[in-house]
Amino acid sequence: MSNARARASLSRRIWNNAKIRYSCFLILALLLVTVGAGLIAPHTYDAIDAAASYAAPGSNYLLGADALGRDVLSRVLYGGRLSLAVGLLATLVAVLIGVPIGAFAGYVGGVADWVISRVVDLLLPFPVILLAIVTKMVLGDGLLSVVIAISLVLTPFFARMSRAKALSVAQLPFIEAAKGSGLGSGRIMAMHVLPHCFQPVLIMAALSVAFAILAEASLSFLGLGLPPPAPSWGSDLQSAMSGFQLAPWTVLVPGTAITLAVLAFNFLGDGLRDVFDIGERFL
Amino acid sequence: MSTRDELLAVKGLGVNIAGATVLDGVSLAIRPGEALGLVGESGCGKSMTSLAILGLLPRGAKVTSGSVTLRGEELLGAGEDALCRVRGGAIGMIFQEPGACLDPVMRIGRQIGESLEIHRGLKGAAQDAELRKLLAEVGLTDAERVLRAYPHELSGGMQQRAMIAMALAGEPVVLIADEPTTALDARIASQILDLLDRLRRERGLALLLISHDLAVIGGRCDRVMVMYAGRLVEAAPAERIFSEARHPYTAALIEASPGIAGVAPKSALRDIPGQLPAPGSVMEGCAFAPRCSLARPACSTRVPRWSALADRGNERGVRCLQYEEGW
Repeated sequence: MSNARARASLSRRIWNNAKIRYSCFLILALLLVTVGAGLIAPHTYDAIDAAASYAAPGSNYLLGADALGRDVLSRVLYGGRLSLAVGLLATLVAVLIGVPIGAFAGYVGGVADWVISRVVDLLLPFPVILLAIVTKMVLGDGLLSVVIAISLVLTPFFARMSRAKALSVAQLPFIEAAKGSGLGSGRIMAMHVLPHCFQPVLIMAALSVAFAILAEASLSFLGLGLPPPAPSWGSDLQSAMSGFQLAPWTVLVPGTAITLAVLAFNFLGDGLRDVFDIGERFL
Repeated sequence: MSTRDELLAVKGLGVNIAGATVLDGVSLAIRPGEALGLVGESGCGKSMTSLAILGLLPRGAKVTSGSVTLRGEELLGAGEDALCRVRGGAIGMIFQEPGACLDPVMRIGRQIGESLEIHRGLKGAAQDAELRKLLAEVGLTDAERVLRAYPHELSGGMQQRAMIAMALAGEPVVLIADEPTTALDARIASQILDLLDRLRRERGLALLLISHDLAVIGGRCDRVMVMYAGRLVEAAPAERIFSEARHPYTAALIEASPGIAGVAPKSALRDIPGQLPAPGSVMEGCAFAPRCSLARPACSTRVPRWSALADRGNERGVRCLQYEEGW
């Protein structure tokens, strides 16, 4: 039946896309080893061993040890929890706030659209560092302030994109037909406008996770992330700065982890864009 | 016509868009079980009339005069909640392009189900049973497949049947079909018209059939109204309008139409010279005057009034200076 074939072909197109397939494997692997860090990590992330300061990679410390003699591998595994959690949570918050607001503005238009668009324009130029300092001041140290700072940066982009999409969907005849069927504005927005934002939102969400992981690493590097000894790829890079000529693994390991995670989500977004074939119109 | 049995009545409806008049003094009334045809060229205000009835005028369009009553209840200026109950409820609407008027990312069953839910509160198993009943009524067999299908998986004819099922979901008393067959091929078009005809008889629906095509309207309607540039120019029983068109525009329209049932073209089809005036440009005088072969100087200065005609007990009317004194 053409029914089944059409649906099968989309899922097959997704699976046949090499970028999506490999990035999904990589993301799955990252999630498994970081969530399961408690099971696989040979040491705890804060176990200090002065005798093992800058120990080279070997049987006891697989990927070496840092200045305080902490196991680099264990810290990277535990640190990945934070990076991935921030990346996913910040994107989720930005989607949940940005998309409905943007879609509302685009569908309703008029004064509401003008006001929302100006607020979005105002939010766009704020650098993530400034926002992180403010949220840290207001909310104190913690995951929440980092997530909020990064999602504040992401939200305007989701709002803009879904506004553009809603604006074009609102002109389509089936919206007129839905009005003619007696559906109220709220229902039309929820049932007939928002679903059309799904594909561009999914693509942008994948790319946003990559951005958020990078942002979290940068904030932690600058000391705006979670306070030590909490493990984080960014703060591990920072603490490696003093001795990286002596012990290059202290830089290479967290650096590679950041690169892999960012690459995986970027490729996923890229692959989805190829499959959905919506071009660069909304991104 | 006595106003008592009028289901839907439009009186003296006028609509402006950005100061330009697009509807001027449009009046029509439909009784239960009756089919009224509204004919005219693209852009003459047919669709604007149907949108105005449902309070769905585009942004920038304003109703300047007149009234729209459903069972005696005024719809113009009614609240949004009341209008939402009327749209898809008492008045069902069928649009021109079924392919574009169904949400491409929602299954047919859910789209029709939405109407059942908001107008009749049907959910779950009750909704499913009613969906199957509706599909059978509009001639969609294989309900299993259709309910689960996305619009693009159905043919144009099936899409239009699904649209009709959606319009029927709220148990309407009036059905407005705006160019329901324009996007379909001739054989499917006549099937859809037969279906509308049958539904009208079985459900006692009042049908407002809007088309640019006299052939579509002629065979299926009790009465026909002809519109030109935002005004009604002629109203007559369907069986008389082809043989005894009174307005020069109606006559020209008939001569320009191929294959009207029972009327063999006397000669080659004749085009109507000129074009429909741009909205708001020539509302002084008769809008058809520049294209009319019978036009006199008075036609471009005097706006013709609606003249009721005596025609063996039939309700007829025409808006042309020929039928006024001093011609």
